[in-house]
Amino acid sequence: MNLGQMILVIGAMAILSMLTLSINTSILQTYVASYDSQASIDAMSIGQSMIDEIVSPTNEFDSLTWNTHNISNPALFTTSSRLGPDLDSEITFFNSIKSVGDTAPFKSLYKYNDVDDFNGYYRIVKSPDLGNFYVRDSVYYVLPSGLDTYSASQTYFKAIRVTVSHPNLYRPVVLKSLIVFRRYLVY
Amino acid sequence: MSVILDVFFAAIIAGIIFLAILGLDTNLNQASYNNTFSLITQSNAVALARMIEYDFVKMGNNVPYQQAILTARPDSITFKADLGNSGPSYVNIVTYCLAPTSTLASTMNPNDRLIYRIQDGQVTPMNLGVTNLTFTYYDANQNITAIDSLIRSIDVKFIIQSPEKVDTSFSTVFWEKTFQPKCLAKF
Repeated sequence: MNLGQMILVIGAMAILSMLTLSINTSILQTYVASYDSQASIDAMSIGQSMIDEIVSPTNEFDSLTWNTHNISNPALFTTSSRLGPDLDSEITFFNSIKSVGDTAPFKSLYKYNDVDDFNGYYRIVKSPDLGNFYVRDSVYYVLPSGLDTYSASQTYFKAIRVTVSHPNLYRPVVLKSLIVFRRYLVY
Repeated sequence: MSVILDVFFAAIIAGIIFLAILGLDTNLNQASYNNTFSLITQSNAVALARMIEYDFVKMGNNVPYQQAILTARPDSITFKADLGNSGPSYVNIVTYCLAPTSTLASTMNPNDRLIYRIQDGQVTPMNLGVTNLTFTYYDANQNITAIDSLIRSIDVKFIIQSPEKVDTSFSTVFWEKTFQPKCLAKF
């Protein structure tokens, strides 16, 4: 085999190696995308369950609306800076799960009683096939004129943002919902 | 002697190239099978999840309080719901349950089976590759309960697998969601 033939063979091998690497990379990316979509399905159902729990009829709009729905001024609601657990038992529970997360069976279902209690709530949901999903909630007021815009002052609208993360996800799944205070007037 | 050496090295190089192409082809085929089955199982999971969500959130709609759930077993559930929101005289009775594995004996997967959705006596068998369907029932304090009238939330889990093996195992999707139907809560 002369030098020319050797160079041709080495060139062919190099091209084949690059092709193999490129195809293997693409196969790997397909697997990663498949795991991502599988984790996304789980993440969305977990996030939706979280939202369902927060907007459940057993949770009031605000801790101050437990006794009356006849509130005509949103300034009476809990201030933005104090959104979160308010009762002593809720604060104790919140502190106990702040770093380690609430695990099944979830205590938030009976510890919390209004929507903004879930501000800062952290939950770990264990999936048998994909492991742990990490759920974090935030609740904040939004402007009536722009329901995506954060409001530092109290309004009749609270936005719920649930972020679900998992190692298989490219980026965390974020679900949002809105809860509106329904005022009942007593004449 | 030189010719013999040329033939010998050429054969070695040809062998390496042949093995590389064979490996690539195997990888490609496996990835293709895996993706196809993964896509099918994920699509089936999404389809079943949407159907369950549609029915379960309406559980107890237009039904007297504490009479929504007729039977609550770990592997099946029967409940009342006005699915079309047409009024209390148009309440539907819906059942979800699994058939025996013998109903899908034709597949390579020994665990997959038909899932039945029965609405007002009309049975709809679905071949979605379901291998497991579990219902867990909770009362208002998040304790597991078997008493129909105390049920406030229901945790639904299912596992869907591919009908054929991919490499050494079945492509699997796990789905879980906790429902808190608004009409089961007293408020």
